[in-house]
Amino acid sequence: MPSNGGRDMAILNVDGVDCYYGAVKVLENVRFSVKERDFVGVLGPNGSGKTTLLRSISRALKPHRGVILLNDLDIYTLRSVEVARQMAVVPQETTIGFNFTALDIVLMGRNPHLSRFQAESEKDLAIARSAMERTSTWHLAERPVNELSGGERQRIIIARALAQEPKVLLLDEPTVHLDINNQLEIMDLLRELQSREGLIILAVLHDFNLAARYCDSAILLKDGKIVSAGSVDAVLTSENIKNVFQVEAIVKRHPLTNSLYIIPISTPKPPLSRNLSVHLICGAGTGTTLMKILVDEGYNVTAGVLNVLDTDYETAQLLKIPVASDAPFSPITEETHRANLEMVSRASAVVVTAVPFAHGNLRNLEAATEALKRGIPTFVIEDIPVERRDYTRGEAKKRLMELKGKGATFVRNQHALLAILNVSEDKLKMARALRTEIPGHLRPETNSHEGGVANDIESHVGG
Amino acid sequence: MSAAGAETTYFRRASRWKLTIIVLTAVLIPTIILSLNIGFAQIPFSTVLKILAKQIPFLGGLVDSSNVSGVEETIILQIRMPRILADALVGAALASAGVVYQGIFKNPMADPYVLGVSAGAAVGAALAIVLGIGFTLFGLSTVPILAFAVSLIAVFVVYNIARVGSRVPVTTLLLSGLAVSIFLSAIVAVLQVISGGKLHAIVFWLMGSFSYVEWKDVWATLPLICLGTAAIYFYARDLNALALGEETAQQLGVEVEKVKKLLLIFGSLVTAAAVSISGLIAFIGLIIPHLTRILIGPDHRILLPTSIIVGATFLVICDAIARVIVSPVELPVGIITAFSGGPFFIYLLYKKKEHYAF
Amino acid sequence: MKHIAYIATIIAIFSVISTVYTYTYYQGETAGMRSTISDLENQIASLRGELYKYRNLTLVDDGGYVLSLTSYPSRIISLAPSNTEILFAVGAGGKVVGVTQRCNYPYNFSAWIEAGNMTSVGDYWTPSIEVIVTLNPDLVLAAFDQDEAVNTLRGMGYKVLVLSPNNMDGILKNILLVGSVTDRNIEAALLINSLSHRIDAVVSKVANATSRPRVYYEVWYDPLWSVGSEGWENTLIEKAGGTNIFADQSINYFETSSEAIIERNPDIIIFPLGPGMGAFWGSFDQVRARPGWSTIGALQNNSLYTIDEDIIARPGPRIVDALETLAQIIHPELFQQNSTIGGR
Repeated sequence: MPSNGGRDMAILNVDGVDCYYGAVKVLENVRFSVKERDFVGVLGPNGSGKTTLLRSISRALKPHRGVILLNDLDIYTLRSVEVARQMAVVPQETTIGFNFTALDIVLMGRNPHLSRFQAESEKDLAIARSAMERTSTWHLAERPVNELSGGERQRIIIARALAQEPKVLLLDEPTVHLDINNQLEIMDLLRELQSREGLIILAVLHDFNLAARYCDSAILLKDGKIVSAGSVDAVLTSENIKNVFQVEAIVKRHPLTNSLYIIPISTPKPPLSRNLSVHLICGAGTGTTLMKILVDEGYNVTAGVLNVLDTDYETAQLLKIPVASDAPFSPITEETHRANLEMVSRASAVVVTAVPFAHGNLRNLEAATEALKRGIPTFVIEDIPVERRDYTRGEAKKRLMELKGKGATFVRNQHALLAILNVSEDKLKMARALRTEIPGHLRPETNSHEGGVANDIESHVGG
Repeated sequence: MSAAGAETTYFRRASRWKLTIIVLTAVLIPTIILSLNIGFAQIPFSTVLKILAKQIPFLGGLVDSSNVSGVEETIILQIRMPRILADALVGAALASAGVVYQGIFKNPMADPYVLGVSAGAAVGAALAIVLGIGFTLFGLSTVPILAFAVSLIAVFVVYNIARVGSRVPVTTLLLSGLAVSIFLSAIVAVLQVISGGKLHAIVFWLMGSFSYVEWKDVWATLPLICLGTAAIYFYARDLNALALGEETAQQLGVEVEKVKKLLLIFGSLVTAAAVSISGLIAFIGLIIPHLTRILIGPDHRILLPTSIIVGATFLVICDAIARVIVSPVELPVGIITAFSGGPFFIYLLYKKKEHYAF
Repeated sequence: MKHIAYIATIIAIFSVISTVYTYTYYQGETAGMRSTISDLENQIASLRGELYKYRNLTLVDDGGYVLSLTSYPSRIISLAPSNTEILFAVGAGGKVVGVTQRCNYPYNFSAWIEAGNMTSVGDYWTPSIEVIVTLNPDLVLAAFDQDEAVNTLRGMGYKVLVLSPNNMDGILKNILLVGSVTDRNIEAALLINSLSHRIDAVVSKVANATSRPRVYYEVWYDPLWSVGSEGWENTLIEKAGGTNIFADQSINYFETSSEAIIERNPDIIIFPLGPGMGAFWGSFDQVRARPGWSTIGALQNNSLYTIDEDIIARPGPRIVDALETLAQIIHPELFQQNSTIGGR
């Protein structure tokens, strides 16, 4: 662990804290501890107590129960100036009514270190200047602070907090008014403070992704209670997010930043179930959108065979789609294939997406063939020509041509597919009902493309 | 703004402050001496200077004072001098209290009377006048003593009404001050009604004047006002932090409740002392802080001493006008302060209103 | 910042030192003045009984203040019009060097002041200390409600007498007092004699009156102010054979309402005429126009009168003029009509 030249190790302990606003309990039994060099994100929906937690630590709101210790000293027993030397706060609301200059404001951050009549010295000015330079506000030094924009003011306040040379920095939504470039700048600055100078940083953040990217630890609050606390990975899970924010989210790890990123997805109202199922033969992301759309449209969707590292597999897990799955980089096992066939047989339609074929998933085309044998309408999406995604030296192409010959409907893209599905919904229903009467053998060898299915059914029914 | 520019500006500002204070003091002292020249009796300025010089301990003996009559000496030393010093003291006290209250309440309408000092003093003075009891304490008569005492009682009551545990929320304090002041004003009205022939004395006291100030009034209040304003200056930096909000101030290391309490005590003490010798002089505590803030900025480390000196000078000048403008009748000095200060302040506000922020 | 701290500390120390210094210094001064007076008192005591001319000039004023003089004053300042009138009435006018703005009898003092033959000391409510000191008086005569000025002047060593009588006898006593302090005892005695006779004349005639008309004396009209039992006007009305409708009020001046006046239904209404608080602003027609007033007996009988405010408000010799005027108003049947009475 690199030492940083003498800064004491600061430890913040919050133990069993209850806070009230009047008679309303806003924090209940909050307990966590933060050590040196920890960047903690405090997350939660509005009204969950994030700001209150910060205020109780900054001594603005005394807890009714519990204790907050900084380096084993109860901060509520210390003098304000002692606490101010170690802890700085950047509040959310930063309007200032008087026309102090920005430099004046930042220099006030030196107050805790100056005795009553001691004037600010060169050193204090240098510290203020450095703080302002790091927050890109030095050029605003002589401007009256009430003429600055919200974002500029926020950075000035951050500079003031830095000028305090604290060991603990509390920030309440510090990036709220800032442009994206300033947001990242500030977060990078905080990160640097944390690693280089060993600061403890406790920041209330509303942006999960910022929190995921910059924080080491996180505290997730709901209704004044801690739902989860610990490392960011452990706290920011889609369950927790669903539980606390009532929103579905996909949590992934970004390859470039190596941090989590969270994509909230809106969950529309559960659609009317169409009582039809569609089986997707897909992979490598080609089926993700289709899965979502079909689920939204009310179809029961199944998929297979997918390997467990596949993106479509993840999506399927998220959407609770039954999947026949197998280990990656190995051919499909007999067992899995049978499971796949099982799902196929229960489907009203089978769709083969423009998935790249390699020897590992080549067998999926057998399932498609099987589907056609059983008379299940099968569609093949061809938005990327097969030649470009055939890694089986033509074997896949060959099989696909065979499918075509056997009556699979080739559609140009997903859109067309969906159009067809909607149109022939009733027909599909009928087909399903009828299919049980037809022995499981192949359709007549007709070479019809679009509308092939419809013709087949008609010819069969109409006589 | 160049990189070096802001720093040098900052340090230059500190020396600019010192210069400002020296210049202002250099204006105040001659103003005091020149005011000694103003009054009904036509005393030549050289005589005035001679009389003053005679008071200096060792040099006094060197001054030729043969043609200075006893009457002239009495007028300068016993009538005008205490009166002018009282002007300066009261002006300084009210201005400093005004700065403090505006800083604590962050309200541009706050003045030193807002916590009930004026209403309490009025009740005390009216009581003393109506009851006609006469006793003296430290040589002071009933009216200033009761005015002082009741005004402090009023502030004490206001404070305790607003207090929540050991904290005093400022909004509650303002409302409490307002309520108590209204109530006490009603009492003054009742006292006026039953005062009969003494009504005019009460009304006159309420208008504020320095007509009968003697040395004993001056040295009864001088220590209180000097020490009180010095004590207030002690907390100048804290007042700067308080201007940003109580929570922020606390996070910057200010013991907010303790400082608020102390500042309120000192502010009330100097105001009560001022009011007890001069009656209610309006306008100074409210406008002088704004005036200096427009000219000099919101930093209390310079704002306080400047307001004090400007307040003192302003009142000395106004009282000089009050006693000669319709001589030998003396106008209440509050009329002069309002007439002269009001338009000047309006002018300043007009010129600087885009930049003036409260 | 350090420098400001030093300056502040120095100013504080300086102010404390100067406070102590001036306190002790001026304490010495006034102590000196007081010791002079007590020396003088001792001298008087020792001289008493030796020389006839130096009679025992120990005076007590209406406030109970005891003043001793060794010689008759030659520079007198009057702080009230009533005192001015007394001084001139006993023939001591030549010694008067300062009067108030309001003094207007027996001479036009404003003209004297303008011509430079007299000095104004300001108005009744705030006489200017500085002017008084400049005039260097050896006696100051003050009146009601001038306590601050009186205390200040006495504190500076000036001789001040406060004349604030409560009744007619008090006025007469004060005339004697002024006479004795200005060596005009004989003139004062003669004046008292004639005033007493006139008073007795009125009182005895009024004793034969068959009725006591109810009188309302209007001090001011907006709001309506009248006078209670402790006021001058009440005493005079009673002596003149009338009854003040507000005699049950003890406060000397108070606010009242149309209702009260209508209810008490005075037979006679009197308005003071003159500058200041008693200014009569218009005509009786305006009084008649007041809502509800037409039911009052005084309006129905057209018994509305004015009286010169100066003679009724000042506790001086002309108070007897006021008494006679009131008597003529209240009991015209007993006294001849005098052209000085108003009655429009």
